[in-house]
Amino acid sequence: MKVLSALMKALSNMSARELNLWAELLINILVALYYFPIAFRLMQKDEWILATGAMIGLAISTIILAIVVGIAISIPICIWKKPVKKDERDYQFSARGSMIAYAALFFFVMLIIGQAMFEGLCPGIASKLGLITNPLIIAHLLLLSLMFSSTIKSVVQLFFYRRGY
Amino acid sequence: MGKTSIRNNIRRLRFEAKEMTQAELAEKVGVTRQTLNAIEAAKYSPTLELAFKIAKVFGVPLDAVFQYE
Repeated sequence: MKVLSALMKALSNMSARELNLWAELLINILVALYYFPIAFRLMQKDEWILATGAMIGLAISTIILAIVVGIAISIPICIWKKPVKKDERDYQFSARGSMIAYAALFFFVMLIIGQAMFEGLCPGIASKLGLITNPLIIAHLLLLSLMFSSTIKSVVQLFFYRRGY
Repeated sequence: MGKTSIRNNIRRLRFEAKEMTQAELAEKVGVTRQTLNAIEAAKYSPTLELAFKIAKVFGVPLDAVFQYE
């Protein structure tokens, strides 16, 4: 009961913007936890092309999940907290979040592209080093990087909101 | 974003201005109550423009609201 009341107190002290960031983070994590384990399991099949139908189904169900969870979380926030215009602190924290998320995204994209190019530069060595050359897996790793950087952006902003409050 | 080296008298000025609430002051200067709370607690340094707006609400010069240590 004490934990619940402390949680309610913390939530009521947050701005609508901060609550939306928590919602964004939750949706990101839920979508990633739902999509990627199934996607990578499907791709591990030898005839991964046979799993294409399942992949499309997975992509559609993930989009629906994200929309449904997004609406389910956003409606109570909109009712509870009056949406307000972003102020200078919001913009500053958003810029810091974007900057750090961009650096992370750049690092992961360069890492994935770099290892994929290795096969072209040194033919035959990719399989020995365990590098990934499957285009579908590379595409998913890029998608994972995108989701990861988006999560980093939310986490960085929330960190500053919590520290600066 | 720990404590900044900019001190402020917003709490006292609010009290002297008929106990103006943080929410009222925040609305007058166009920020959220949370931002104003962070400024008041010296955890966030406002821009020059916002600092002038706060001083203007109380009708005092800028250095009566903010002091750099």
